[in-house]
Amino acid sequence: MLGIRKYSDTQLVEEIQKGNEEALVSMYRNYYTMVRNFILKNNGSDEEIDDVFQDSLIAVWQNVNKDDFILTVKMSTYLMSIVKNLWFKQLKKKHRFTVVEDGIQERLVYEEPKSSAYDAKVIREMVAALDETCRKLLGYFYFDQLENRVIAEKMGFANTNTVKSKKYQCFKKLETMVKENFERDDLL
Amino acid sequence: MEQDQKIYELIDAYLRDELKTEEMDKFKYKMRTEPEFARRVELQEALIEELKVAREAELRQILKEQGKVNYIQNLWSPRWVYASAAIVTGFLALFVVLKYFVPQTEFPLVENTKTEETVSNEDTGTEEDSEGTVRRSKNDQVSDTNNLIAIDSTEVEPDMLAAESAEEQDVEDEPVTEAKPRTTKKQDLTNLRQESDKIQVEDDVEVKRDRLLESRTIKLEVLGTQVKAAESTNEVVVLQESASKKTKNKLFRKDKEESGDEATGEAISAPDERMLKLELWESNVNFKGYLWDKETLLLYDVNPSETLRFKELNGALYMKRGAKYYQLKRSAKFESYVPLSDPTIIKSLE
Repeated sequence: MLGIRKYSDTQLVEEIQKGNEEALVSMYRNYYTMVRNFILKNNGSDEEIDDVFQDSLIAVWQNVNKDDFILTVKMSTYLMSIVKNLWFKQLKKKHRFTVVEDGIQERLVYEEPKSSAYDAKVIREMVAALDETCRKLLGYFYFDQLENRVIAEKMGFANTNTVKSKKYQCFKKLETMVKENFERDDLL
Repeated sequence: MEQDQKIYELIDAYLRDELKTEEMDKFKYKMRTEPEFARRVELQEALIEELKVAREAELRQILKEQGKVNYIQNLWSPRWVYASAAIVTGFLALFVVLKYFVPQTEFPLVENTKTEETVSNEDTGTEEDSEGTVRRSKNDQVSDTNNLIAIDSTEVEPDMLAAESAEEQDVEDEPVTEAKPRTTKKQDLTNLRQESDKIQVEDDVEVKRDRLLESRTIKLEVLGTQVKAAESTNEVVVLQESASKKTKNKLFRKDKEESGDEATGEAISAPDERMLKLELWESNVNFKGYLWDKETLLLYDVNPSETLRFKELNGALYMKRGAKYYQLKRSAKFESYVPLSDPTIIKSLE
């Protein structure tokens, strides 16, 4: 806990673009009090802080890694704008839940991904069973949206072609694992 | 293999919305016409979604494990223990430094001999408006007050200051030429000074004042041109060159009440019964000099056991201390001992 360094705004952007999770942890610690005060002052509770804050940080993480991202304000201001948006959306939902029928609540709780033809549970298990290198590589590419160059540096690959090739191999591996675990009827 | 990778990358580009319009149209047409291709797209999309969920969960886990902030919930967490230890250590270090490494604040009353000169000079400034008529009692106060170096006068006991101030006022109101006995007032002042030898300005700051070592009254006998007055180890010799200069001998005036000589009213009418009051003082600022503005001559830095000789020549008073002569001038200011250098005067004095 004491070992996490503190980053400037510029360093935070650079480190997030390098896929350094420590930058995210640093933000979490540095801005926790600010976010906590905001949530508690706006009808929130201690239990809700972590969820909203984590959602906000992950949104920052993904946004910073987009190609066209430019930080024009302080990182704390940027983060707080996301926190406020998420929190007010959540407040609206909470308010709606109190006035509508119970049946509608169920509809709003969780929606499965579009891939209804495949068992999401099996896919989740296969992803979890994938070897760590492949899971990380695919995670960096699809979720973090890191460039192949950055992934190569981060994972110690020779070049971007290696990343492309490795990424294809990992995906095919996962696909095979999923297919093997699906019922033939489900797949065809 | 390569063909399959190209299909994978094409589907990937579609899902990432990176296809151009023309490519997108072709892709959608293929999805509509080739069910197997459509299922592959669907599976790839599902896998990518689950990979995203897994990565997001991983990040959340990192935040949960490493970023957890115990918001004053666990006071025994390493963070608070380290912070408390740092604060306590800091205070201890500060205490040790203040206690053992920072010298106790003592006013440099004794060590710095230059300070004493400064005091005298400041004294001069404060007394200039008195036009040479400042009296002994006032100078006592000046001496005492100015020796309180670096101490705001408001720090001194207000009662004592008020008493001194009232005394000063009383003295100044009196005419210069009147030689009324002030023994009562002087005694009061002396008592006041002695009582306030040590003033406790604050709890830990002790200020010392000048200390009176010895007080003597010397009777002068005028024996023609040479008068010897012996008392203990001191000897006073007055050389009177001419009667016309007798008027300058006011300094040896005898108190009217003591002499009972009210007929003449002249201070010099009875030179054979003149008095010279001497006071030997120990200065706390190591002042080496004298103050002589009225009847009493205050000598600083003189040991009571030293042999002193006083002579008057042409109305001027000289003190012989050891082998050197010093001329003593009447002044409202503190003066330093200045050795006499004029060989003619020295020869006359010898």
